Parts: sequence; C-alpha cells; structure tokens
Amino acid sequence: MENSLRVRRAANGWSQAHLADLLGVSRQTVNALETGRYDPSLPLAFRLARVFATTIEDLFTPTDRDLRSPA
Amino acid sequence: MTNAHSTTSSPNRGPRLSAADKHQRDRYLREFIPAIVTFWILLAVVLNTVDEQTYGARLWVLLPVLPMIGVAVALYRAVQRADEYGRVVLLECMALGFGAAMVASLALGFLGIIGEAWTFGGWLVLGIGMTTWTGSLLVRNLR
Repeated sequence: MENSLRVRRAANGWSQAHLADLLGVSRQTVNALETGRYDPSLPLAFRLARVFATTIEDLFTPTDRDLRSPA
Repeated sequence: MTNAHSTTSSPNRGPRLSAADKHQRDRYLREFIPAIVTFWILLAVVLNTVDEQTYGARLWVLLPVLPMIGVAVALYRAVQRADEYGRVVLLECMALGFGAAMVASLALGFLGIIGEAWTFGGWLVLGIGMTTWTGSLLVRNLR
C-alpha cells in the first residue's frame, strides 16, 4: 500500500515522534507506516485520517498487488 | 491539528521515542528489572550455597526459576501493551527464538538417542532461543 504520510507529516512540520503521540503509537510504528513496511489496521487508518483531517482514501493508495485477489 | 510539536528536534524524525514508547518502556522496566535482579541474586546465592549431597538440593537449585516467572509475566504484559506494529514485531521475533530453541532441543534430543547427553543442554537451548529472539528484535528495531 502506498501512502502520503511522510509528505503530509512534513507539511505539518511534525516529527515522527509527535505524530506517534497524536496517534498513541510508537515512533517505530510511524516509521514502518511511512516506509510502507506495515499497513495499518482499520482503526489506526481512521485515526490517521482524523489527525490529518482527510479521508483514508486520500492517505492510502492500493497498488495493483493489493487489489489482486489471492489465487 | 497543524501546530508543531514543542519538543521536536528535527522536522523529519525528531525525538527517538514517543510518549507511548516511553510509557511502554517504563512499565516494562518496572516489571522486568526487579524480577531479573532477584533472579541474579538467587542464582548467586544458590551457586554459592548449594550442597548437592543434601536432600533439599533439588528444590534449592530450582529457586532462581521463581523470579523468571516474573520475567515471563513482564514479557507477556509488554506484548499486551505494545501497539499493533510493535506486537507484530515482538511476536515474529519470539517465533524465531522459539523456532531456534525447538531446533536446538530437537538436535539435543537426537544426540541423546545415541548416548550424547549434554549436562548443560538446557542452557544451550535457552541461550540459542534468547540470542535468536533478542538478535532478531535488535535487527528489526534498527530498521
């Protein structure tokens, strides 16, 4: 899953730790989300959308692989 | 929610730990340290006082296992307190450590079949499991 978290966080002038504080998660989690190593659960995705005052669809873009149904 | 964080040291990464990180670390250390310190004290006492000839030696030598129950509880609570990504990392690394310990114990078991019984085999299994677990955790945390 691709996302715009890093760009949006930088636009707000926030550190990873500050975003982590807003979300109630660890800084590592924010780092893993930004680098695409981890896709958030639905509740965390909604918290992200609320923090950035946007929608989940605006934050996350599924790749072709994400949309492909498992064989 | 566009106000910048007051303690931000760098707009890119900033402090290494969030409030959730610090809370989890502090709670874990508060539970882990007393248990592990008690373990080392009891281990030192047992190693210096155990008399293998006495009737109660078997019970006495098992005394350091008791505080390790506290360590296990601290680890269990750490997993419970971790956020969703932290829990995935912890459990994946525990699975690696568990797998390594199982392979080591299986190898020792097979060696036992041909009479190669190692007195300190249990410590070897513990060491391999712990090293794999903590090593994989360190590697994951470095990323």
